[in-house]
Amino acid sequence: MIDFDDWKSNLLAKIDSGLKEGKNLGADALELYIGNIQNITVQMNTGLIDAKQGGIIGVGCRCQVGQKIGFASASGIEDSEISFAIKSALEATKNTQDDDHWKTFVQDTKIGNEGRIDTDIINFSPEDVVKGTLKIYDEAKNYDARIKSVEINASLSYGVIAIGNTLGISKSSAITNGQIYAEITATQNSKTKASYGYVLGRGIPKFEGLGNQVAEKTVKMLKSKPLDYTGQMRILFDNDTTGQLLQAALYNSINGKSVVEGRSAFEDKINSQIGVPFLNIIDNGQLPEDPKTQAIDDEGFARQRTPIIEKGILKNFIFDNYYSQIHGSVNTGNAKRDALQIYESIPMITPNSICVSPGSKDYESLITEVENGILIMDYLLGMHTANLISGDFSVVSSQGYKIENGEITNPIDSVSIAGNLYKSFNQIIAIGNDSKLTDIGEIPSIIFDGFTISG
Amino acid sequence: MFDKMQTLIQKAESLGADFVDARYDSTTLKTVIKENGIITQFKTSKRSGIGFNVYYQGATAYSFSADLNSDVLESTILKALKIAKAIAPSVLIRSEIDRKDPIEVQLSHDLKEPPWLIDIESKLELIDRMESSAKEYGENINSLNLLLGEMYGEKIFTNSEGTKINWKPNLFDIRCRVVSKFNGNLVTGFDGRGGSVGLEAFKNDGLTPEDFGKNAALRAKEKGKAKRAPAGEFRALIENLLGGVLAHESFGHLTEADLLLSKGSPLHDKLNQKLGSDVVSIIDEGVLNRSNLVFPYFLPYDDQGIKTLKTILIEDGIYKGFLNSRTTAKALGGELTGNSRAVDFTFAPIPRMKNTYFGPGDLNSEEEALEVLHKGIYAIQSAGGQVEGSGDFLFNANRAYWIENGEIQYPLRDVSLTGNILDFITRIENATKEIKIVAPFFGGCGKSGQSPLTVGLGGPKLVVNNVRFGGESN
Repeated sequence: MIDFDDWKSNLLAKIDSGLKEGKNLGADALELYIGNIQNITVQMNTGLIDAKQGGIIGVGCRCQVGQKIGFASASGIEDSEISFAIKSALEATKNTQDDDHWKTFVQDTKIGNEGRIDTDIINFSPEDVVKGTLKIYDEAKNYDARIKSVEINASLSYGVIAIGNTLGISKSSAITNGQIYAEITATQNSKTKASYGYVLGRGIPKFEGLGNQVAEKTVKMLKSKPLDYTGQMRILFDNDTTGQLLQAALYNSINGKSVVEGRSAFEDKINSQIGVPFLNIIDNGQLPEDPKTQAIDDEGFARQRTPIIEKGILKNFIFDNYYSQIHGSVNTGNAKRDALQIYESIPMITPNSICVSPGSKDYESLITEVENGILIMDYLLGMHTANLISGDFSVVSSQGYKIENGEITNPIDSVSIAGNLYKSFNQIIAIGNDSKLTDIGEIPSIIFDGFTISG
Repeated sequence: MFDKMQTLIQKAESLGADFVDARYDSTTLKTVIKENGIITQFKTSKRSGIGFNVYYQGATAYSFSADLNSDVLESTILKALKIAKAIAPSVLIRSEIDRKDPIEVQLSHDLKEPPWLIDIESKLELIDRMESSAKEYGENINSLNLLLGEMYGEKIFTNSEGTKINWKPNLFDIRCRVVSKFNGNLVTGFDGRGGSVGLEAFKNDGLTPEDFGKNAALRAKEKGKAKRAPAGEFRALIENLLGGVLAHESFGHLTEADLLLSKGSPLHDKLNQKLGSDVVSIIDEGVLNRSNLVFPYFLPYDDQGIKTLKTILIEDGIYKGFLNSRTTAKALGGELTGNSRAVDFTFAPIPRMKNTYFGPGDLNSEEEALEVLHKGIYAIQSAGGQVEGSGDFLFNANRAYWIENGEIQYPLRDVSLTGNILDFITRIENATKEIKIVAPFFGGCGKSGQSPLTVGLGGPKLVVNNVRFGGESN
C-alpha cells in the first residue's frame, strides 16, 4: 500500500539536498519542483485498444543569481538528474539580463486543502480500466447501427508534487484523479456527425452510462438541417460551451501578467461594471472533487478561492508570486506548471476552476426565454484561436438545435458564431440553475444575445 | 545500449511476448523568450527514457521509464507484457505485425552549422538582430516578443527482429511577434521560420533575422489600417503555409490509418475515389531537400524502425494513399509508409504525419494567382485552427487582404475560414508552382494526448472558389 506521507517526505528530502547543492554551486536562491505522477491510460479507438503504464517523473529548477533567473528541468529524480537541472539553470543565469522586477521566491507558509484523495485508484488495475472502456464501447455500439466510431480515453493517475525553496518553503500535495473522454461519430447517407462526453473526478470514474449518453446525442444530430440564417439571435450555451466561452474571455483579461504588460482588455476595469449585475464568477482552487485541486499552487503558495466578478463588477485579477510583487497585489495562488512532462514547465498564471454562481432559472425556462434562437452544446471548434487581445472570436458549433417559439425543434447543421469575448459579459440574458462540474469549473447554462450567427 | 535493450527484449520473449519494440529517446529542448528587451525565459529541458511496446496474441501494451537502472527497466518491460496478456482476451481488432529482415542504420546530419554545436551567444545574437530590426521598422509598438527554439537529441531503436537504428533528430526556429497599438486597438504581426536546418539557413535573402523583424513590424503596422473582414462566401487565395495547415490538419489526419481502421475517418471507404479537383495533390514525406523555401523536419525513420516514404495521399484529385504504422499496414494493407511516431518515450507510437504539403500547380507567381482570383480574399499565415473528425475545419488567417480586379485593395483584420475539407478540395481551381514548407518548433501537432509532435507542412498558394469566411461581429 502506498503511503502518501512517506512519499511526500521522500521527495522533500531529495529537494532539501538539491537546495543545498544549488547553494554550494553559487545560487543566491533556488526553487525545486518534483512531480511524480503514476498513470494508467487506456485508449480505445473503435476496436483498437492501446494501454500504457508509467510514471511522469522529473525535476524542475529555478535559480537566482543576483537579479538573474534561470530555469531547467530533467526527467527522472536520481541525484544526477537533479544535478543536471540545477547546473543547467545556473548556466542559464549567465545568459539572461538582470530582471529588475524579481524580488523573491514564495515565502508564505500557508497551505490549502489538497482535494479529496481516493486511494481506490491506486489498486485499480489496467485490466479493470480496459473492461470499463469496453463497457462504454458496447453501450455506444449497441445504441444504434449508425454509430460508426467510438473513441475512448480513460486515464487514472495518482502521485505527489513537492516544492521547496531556499527561503524555507517545503510543501507537497497528493493527487488522485480519474477521467474518461468519449467521442462518437455516427453516419447516415453521406452525413457524419460527432459529439463527445466525459466523466471526471478524483476517484475511479463511473464507466456506466457514458456510452449511451454520447451515442444518443450523436445520433440525434443526424437529422440536422441548415439554419439558413445570417445575423443575430439569442443563443443558449450549455454548461460546456459556456465554460469554453468564459475561459477564453477570462484567460488573458484577468491574467496578472497581461495586466502588468498592458495586454489585458480589463486592465483599468477593477471595480467597474463589465457584465450584467446578476453575474458572479470566482476562480476556485479548492473544489474538493475537481481533479485540478491541490493544497498549493505550482510554486508553493496556498491555493484559494478568488472572487473575479461580483454582481457584474470586476473584483480581482489572478496572480502568481512574481507578478503579484510587480503589480503590488496579493498572490492568488494561480501559478501553474502545464506541460506534457509537467516538471518541464515554468510556472505561469493560469485560472484554477472557473465557477459561475448558478442563476434561478431551470433549463426548460431558459429555452422558453430564448423564444427564437438556437441551443449549442458540446464543443466550440476554434475557441482557442480567438484574438485574446481584441477579444474578437469566431467559432463553429456542430452540435446545435433550433429553438422556435420557446421550444427546441430540429438539430441544425454547423453554424459559425462570431462576437467579442470582452463584450459578452454584458450580453448575458439569463443564467441557469443547472451548474455542473465541467473540465473548466462549475458552470451553468447561459443565454447570450448579440453574437453573429452564420449557417 | 543496444545490448541492454536486446537483453530485455529476450527476457520478455522468453515469458511469452510475441514481439517487442524498444526505444530509447533522449532530447534536449532549449527555449529562449525575449519580451520587451528582457529575456524572460531561458529554459533547458532534458527528457530521456526507454519505452517498450509489447505484442501478445493480438494485444499490445506500452510501458516506459525515465529511470534507466537495469532492474527498473526489467520490471517496466514486464509490466507491459502483463497488461498485454490481461487485455488479449478482450481485443476486438488484433494488433499484429509482419516480421521483416533486420536493418542496421547509423545516421549523421549534413548541416553546415549544426545549431546544437554553436555557442549560445551566437544564437542569442540572432534574436537581438530581429529585435533591432523590428524596432527600426515598427510603429506604436506595444510589445515585442522574440522566440528561439531548439531541439536535438538521439534516438535508438531495436526490436525482436534485431533491427538497430540510431539517428539524431534536430530542429531550430526563430521568430518575432510585434504587437502595435493604433486608435486603441492592438494588432499583431509575425514572421520567422523553423525546420531541421543549420544556422547557415538564416543567412540567405529574406531569411535573415533582420528580415523577420522588419516583416513582423511592418505587418503589425499595416494592420493598423485594416478593415473589418466581411462574412459570407468568397473566392480565396490561400497562402502556402495556411494551405499547409489545411493539408495537415484537415486532410492529413483523415488519412491516418488508425482512424481508417476504426472507420472514424470519412475516408475509410473512399480509396481510389476522385475527391478533389484535378489540380489537387497532397503528399506526406519524411526527408526533403532543404532550400530557401523548404525548411522541412528531418525524419528518416519512424518509431517502429521503418524508413519513411514519400507518400502520395491525393494525386490529380484521386485519394491514393494513407499513413500506416506496422500494425495498421498488417490490418489494412498498403505500404509501410513510416508514419508510426511518438512524442517522446512516455508514449507508444501511433500513425502521425511527417511533412505534409499540397503539390504544385502551374501558376508562375503571386501576381498571376491574384489575377486568377480576380475578386475575393487573400488569406495568409495561420493563426491557429481546429478540425473535427468529419473534416469540418475552422482556421484563422493572421493576415488577409481584400482583392479586386486581381489587385490588393486593402488589408483585413483577422479573418477566419470554415468549411469541410472534402468539399474544400473540390473547389481548388489552381495553385502556384512554388512550394514553401516549414517545421515549427513552437506549436506542432496534437493527437490522442500526444502534443506537440514536430511536423512539417506547406505547399503552394491555392486559388479556391467559394470559401466561407466567418467575418467579425459588430
